[in-house]
Amino acid sequence: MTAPTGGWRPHRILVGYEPEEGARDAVALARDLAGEETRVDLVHVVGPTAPLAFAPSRLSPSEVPGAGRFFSPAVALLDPIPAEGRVYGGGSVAHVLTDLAAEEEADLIVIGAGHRGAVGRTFLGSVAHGLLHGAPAPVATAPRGYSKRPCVSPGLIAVAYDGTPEAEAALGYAEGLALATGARLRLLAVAAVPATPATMLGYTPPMPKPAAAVLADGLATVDPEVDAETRVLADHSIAGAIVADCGTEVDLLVVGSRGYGAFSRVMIGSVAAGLIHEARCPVLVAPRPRREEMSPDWKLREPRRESAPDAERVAR
Amino acid sequence: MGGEVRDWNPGRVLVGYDGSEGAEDAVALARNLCGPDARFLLAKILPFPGPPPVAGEMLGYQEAAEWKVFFAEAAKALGRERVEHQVWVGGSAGKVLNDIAEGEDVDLAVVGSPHRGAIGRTFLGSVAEGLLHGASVPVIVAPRGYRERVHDGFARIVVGYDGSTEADAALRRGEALARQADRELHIVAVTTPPTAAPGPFAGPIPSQLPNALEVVERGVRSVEGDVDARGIALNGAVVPELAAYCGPDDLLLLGSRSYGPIARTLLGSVSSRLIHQAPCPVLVIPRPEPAGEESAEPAAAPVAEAAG
Repeated sequence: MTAPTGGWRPHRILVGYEPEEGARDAVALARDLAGEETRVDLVHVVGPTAPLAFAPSRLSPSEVPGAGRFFSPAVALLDPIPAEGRVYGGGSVAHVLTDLAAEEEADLIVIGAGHRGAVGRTFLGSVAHGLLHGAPAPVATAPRGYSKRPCVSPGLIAVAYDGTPEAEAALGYAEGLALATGARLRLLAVAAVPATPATMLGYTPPMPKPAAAVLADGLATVDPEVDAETRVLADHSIAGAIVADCGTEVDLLVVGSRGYGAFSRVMIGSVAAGLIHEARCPVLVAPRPRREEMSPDWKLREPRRESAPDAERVAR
Repeated sequence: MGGEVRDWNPGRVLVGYDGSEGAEDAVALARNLCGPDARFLLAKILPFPGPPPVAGEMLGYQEAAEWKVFFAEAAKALGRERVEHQVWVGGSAGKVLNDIAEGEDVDLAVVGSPHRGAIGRTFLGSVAEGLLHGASVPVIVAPRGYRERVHDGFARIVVGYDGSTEADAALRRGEALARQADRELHIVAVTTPPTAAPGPFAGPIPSQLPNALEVVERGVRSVEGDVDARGIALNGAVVPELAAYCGPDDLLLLGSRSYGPIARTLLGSVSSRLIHQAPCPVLVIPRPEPAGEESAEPAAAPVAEAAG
């Protein structure tokens, strides 16, 4: 999936509808991110949970007679957004959502917090764990109690931006949503805490670009129509600094995947996982760019020429 | 990758080596798992002063020479006069190891457990966790304290088998390892009696649920006659049953979970718990690429439509 380049609203949202896993919160977030053209599918998976694999299949209405009543609170909460409930048998919620998103080209997956987490925060259950390692579309998580907040279109969207191709993809989604909703955009980067760099005889380690310069590069790519600002944060923990800055003011935090593993998929890294756990706002994790979109700047580099050995000295 | 796995014998093995006790465990495991012809590539990733991040950069020969002493102990433990080594700076350790495995001809990645888990058990650090979710090569994590045990290969090769194509990929590697080391190959399936689903409505129980005995029989039949293969069908909770079946001197192979990106390692709910609970090292095999497909890019497994 390619990050959007203009205004972006999801056309097709899949909601993992698991009552214990904050289903109502997920539905409320889907409602707040939906546009006029959006369709929502509520996906529920029933057991039996036999450990031996068998392929998930969609159950017909006659096989699940209680389904209409089961989905009706969600359909009412989404009204007037068109929504349909689907029940699958076999597999796991993460399995069904991942496959469905790939087959039916859903462009957003929304899930709630696991039932063990604190109110206002998002605890990652096994559903989130599975989705955040490999989903083909962005995954948004709703913190516990999100459905009790008033229904609002996002007013302030924050994006964690460190200049990597994955952060550029995240910025694409954040910018797209800001364009489509009129929300303000805030680009966040965390500056290095002064540390002793690894120095060795005759070797200068690569230095990170200053965070302000990274943000300026990011800001330069944002559509001038968007009311965008940048903030450099400093903290010992990247996630901690971003969470503290977002506070309760930010309506949606957008982050990128980590920089390795499968392309075109959500591959969550440790910072994004920390953000989902700690942030009070919903978090949207963007998939990695496609292989063709990856900049060679971020490939592993062979030794620099200037540090190549002086043949005589090495031979000593 | 793929192709001829009959004689799978890791030829070039990447070992994450940071000099810690966990790294020494990884070295001991690499030696125990690999044949005398395996070539080892040891990689150390230096801490980097970011954020913001920079791309990983390999130290040149001159700088790397300074590190020869650092790797000498590991080379000795691997029983080699010399091993290839690389020192990197920039990038996360997970990214650097992943990209080395992806960009170079590497057959296996070995990393250790951080030394804060229980002795004899595997504890996933962020590097191991990162590699187990997304590496393009098989990944094995050494249990804590593995270097202190006496090793003479593995007692048995055990494959956790559920009949999926991912489990078949693990079985093929297990078969090859059992053949080379002349060890018994144990193919283990675990099943639980089906119960009605809890939740808002009792889900219908499909009449044709997979049967553990049939599944292992199929697995055993797929193994060639020169390997001593045994099928074991167990009843109970899958993670504790499989963990209890394995002994500390065994090797347990597991396939990746059966959805998400192909040709990558991905832990499912069973493997992510087993890796902590098994008393022996757990080798996780990437999802196989569907037959006849060249690309490693996503191809979704079909979800069946409603019967009507």
